[in-house]
Amino acid sequence: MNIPLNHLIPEIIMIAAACLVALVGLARSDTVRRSAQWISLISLILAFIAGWRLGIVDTGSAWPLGSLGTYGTLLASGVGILLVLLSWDMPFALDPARADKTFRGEYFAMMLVSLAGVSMMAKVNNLIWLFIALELVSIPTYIMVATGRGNANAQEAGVKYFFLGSLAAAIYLFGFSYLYGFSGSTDFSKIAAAFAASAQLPYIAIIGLLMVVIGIAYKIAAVPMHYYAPDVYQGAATPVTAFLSFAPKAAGFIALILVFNLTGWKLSHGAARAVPDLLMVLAVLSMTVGNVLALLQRNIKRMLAYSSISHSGYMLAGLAVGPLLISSSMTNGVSAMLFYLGAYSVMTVGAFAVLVYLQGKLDAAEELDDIAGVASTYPLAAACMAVCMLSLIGMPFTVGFLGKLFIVQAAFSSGHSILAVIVMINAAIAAAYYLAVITAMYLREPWAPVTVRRPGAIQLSAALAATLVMVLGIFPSFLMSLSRYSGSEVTRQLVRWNSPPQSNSIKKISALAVNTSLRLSARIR
Amino acid sequence: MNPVTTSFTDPVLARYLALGAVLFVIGLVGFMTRRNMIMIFLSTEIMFQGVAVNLIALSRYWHNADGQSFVIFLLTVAAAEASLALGLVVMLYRRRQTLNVDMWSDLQG
Repeated sequence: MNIPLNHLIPEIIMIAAACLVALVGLARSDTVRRSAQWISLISLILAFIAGWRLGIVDTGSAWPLGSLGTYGTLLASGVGILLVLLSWDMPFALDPARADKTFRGEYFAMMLVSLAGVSMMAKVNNLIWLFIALELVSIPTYIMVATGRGNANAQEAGVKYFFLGSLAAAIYLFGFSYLYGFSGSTDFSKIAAAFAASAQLPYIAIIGLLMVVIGIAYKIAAVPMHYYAPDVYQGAATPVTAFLSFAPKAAGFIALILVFNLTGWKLSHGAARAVPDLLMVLAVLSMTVGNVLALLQRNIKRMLAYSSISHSGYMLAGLAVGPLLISSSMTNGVSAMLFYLGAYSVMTVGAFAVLVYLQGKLDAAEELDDIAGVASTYPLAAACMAVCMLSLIGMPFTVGFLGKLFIVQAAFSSGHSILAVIVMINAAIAAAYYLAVITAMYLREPWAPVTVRRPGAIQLSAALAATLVMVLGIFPSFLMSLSRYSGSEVTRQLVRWNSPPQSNSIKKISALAVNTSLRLSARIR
Repeated sequence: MNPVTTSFTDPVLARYLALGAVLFVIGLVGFMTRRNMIMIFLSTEIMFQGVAVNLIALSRYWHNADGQSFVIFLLTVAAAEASLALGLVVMLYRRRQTLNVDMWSDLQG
């Protein structure tokens, strides 16, 4: 029931570092201030190591989910390292209007707090915790968007993001209150027991679930709750946009897994059918609308915003397929979704890192014209961008290909073949606008002389992300085993709740699933 | 402790839940229709209070403190959001001397 304290070591490191950075970032001496970014980087590396040492743990009880927690920590701190590197000169760029260019370290404090929220998300075992973790992720991002750069666009984006974010919070909180009303407890194991005990779900539970899904759909920018995303992505400073494409999305998807885990993933009869149907509709709408609108964009940040919407659609498709009873392999929808989440985070952060590196008319490259002909002057940056774009398309030998493959595989093997076909058609549509970026870099003449930003950290971030995309695409076993085990853990809970099995064959299959996941866990350890 | 199959027909509870839902909807409508940023923010606060009424009523209904402690956390987070909202509003007002959201719509497309 209680979470052992050592599971929270990564979060404790990040929060402590955030407090330290907030203090150090305001120190009188400039050299002390500049240590802020180093402190953040080192703390994230430490958190990653702590998460690694935690390993894939079996907590024995249903809550918290051990390996999903490890997955969340490794994802938050690993991508967090890339994000800190990418925003290395952010404190100087915060206020271009001011001439003195004072270093402001508080940006990194916000970032660390938000990453700690992502990391904590997968470890929660109580609705109150879930709420706190979601807000811990969100509130710093509002500040980052609004103060990330000094112009009116960023402030407009910040206010839009804040108001819609608090609307979303109110909506999922209303859902949480109904889930509490249904089960009489905020404790996950008790809510799960209440779901398992009721054959016919009362409307209060179904309405609660629907509102939770709709509220969290804002966080992951799923259509029709997506309309803020392009404006916010465009208005925010590019490093902040990179952060937005990762943190709220990861947190939202992990929260959705936890909420559906409460229900035991058995919402297939009666009025409860509305919940998986809603997921399916959200998935199809998000990928289609996101991809079609992305085709119309000239601004790369807006285009990546619509692309992030469509990738949310792919991941929602994995979630809508669900874990099934059959497998602990990657045909499990939740495993496929978790793999996709990791893959998407790396490739999109890589694309943004290149945009930050290339200096456009404003502060970072934004329009397609800004990056025209970059390949002739900065071939390495162009290559990194090309790798990330190819991975976003889903080309073989990149991690994006495997992500799409697993999603499609999961959809097919569970009988959702129409969903699988829609995913594949959308992947084909998406190729058009990603290829437009590559074409602009490699085939067009430079529009204006391109300049780059000095800090090597940004280059390092882009190169690291591009390398990861390739390496994980060819040797995916690490990410695969992590997401597979997290997914099969969900399946195991499902088997436990579904007792007694309806028929003999299901009993056999579930026994097989339990055995495989246990054997898998032994091998991984 | 009541069984989990309750149908929530308890008339007193139903009234409180209705109050919570009405507050939530008033806030939602206000959020959609108001043009002034402070009013929009107050609308989200009303939605939060609707949730709080729900939680407290349900806490009384189930005879445990989970809902009440949830409300304390909710109020704390709402306070954090309020301070952030006022900071943002002041920042925007300094730039354009107006809080009408229609004046703030440069980002489109």
